[in-house]
Amino acid sequence: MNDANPITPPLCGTPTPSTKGVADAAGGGISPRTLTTSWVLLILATVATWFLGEWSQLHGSAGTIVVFAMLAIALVKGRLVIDDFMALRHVMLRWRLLVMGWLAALLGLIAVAYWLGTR
Amino acid sequence: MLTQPLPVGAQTARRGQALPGDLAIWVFIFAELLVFGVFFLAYAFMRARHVELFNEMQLTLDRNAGALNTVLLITGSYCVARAVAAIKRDNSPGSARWLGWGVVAGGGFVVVKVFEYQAKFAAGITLSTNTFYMFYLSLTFFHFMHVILGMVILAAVWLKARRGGYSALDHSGMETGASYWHMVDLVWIVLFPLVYVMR
Repeated sequence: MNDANPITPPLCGTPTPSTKGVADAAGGGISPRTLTTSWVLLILATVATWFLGEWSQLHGSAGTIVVFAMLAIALVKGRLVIDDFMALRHVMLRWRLLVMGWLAALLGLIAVAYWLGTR
Repeated sequence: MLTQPLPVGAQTARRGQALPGDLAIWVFIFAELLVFGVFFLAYAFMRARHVELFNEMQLTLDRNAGALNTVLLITGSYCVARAVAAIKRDNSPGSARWLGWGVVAGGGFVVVKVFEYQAKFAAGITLSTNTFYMFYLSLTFFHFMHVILGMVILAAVWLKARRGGYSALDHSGMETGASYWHMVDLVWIVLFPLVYVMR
């Protein structure tokens, strides 16, 4: 591997004292304000999902568009938890993609399953 | 022009930071996500074959309780994230307080879920009632067990935090417990629309 700085970052754990300051400067710590904003958005998204549930029950069924909207809301909620609460926003991309990929693939397949049920 | 080598920390930051907490918990988390994913897909594709049954049975669930539990888990996750943010700033007492609220939110989830189960069992519902309830009870109970384990871990972290056991330079143990708790929250964020709302 042709790499000018062949120092591999640790896989896990709190940065050592020598790295912590730089890591935080690069955005390692998620600020309380960001966490609170995410929490408010997550609560609003939960209310939106609950409302879509009430609406679906009144109409007997949600319909494909509404279900896809619910799943899109779940994707946004999951991303907020992954990036801000789990603090994966600034970790090595492969780890973040692994968790985000799990969520996106799962919700995508649930959408396929729902669509199959409407046929 | 000579290029000075970057300090170790700068290289780490530029390439992306380490996973929070212990690597072992992340192996466990990835395995758990995989298992929950398989369960959720089994539910979703079984539903596609029995849409009428699943839609009818879903009406017997308490969607308000499901939504309340979503709020409780999200709030618990938020409290634990604030605890980690506080300890990163060396605010040990503040961190312990946030962890305590995280445990309270988890306890709220358990209480609501127990009431839900109690109502179902009182109505004579069991695993063998029908396919929907087989999935509902096993999926939610599997998740419930993870909430209980998460609370045990959180309580242990909370007790250590109260004794001043973590600091800005040494809080990997707290991040480990927090990561597991957030996984429990993440899984419920899929479970709630899938089981309680989607119809």
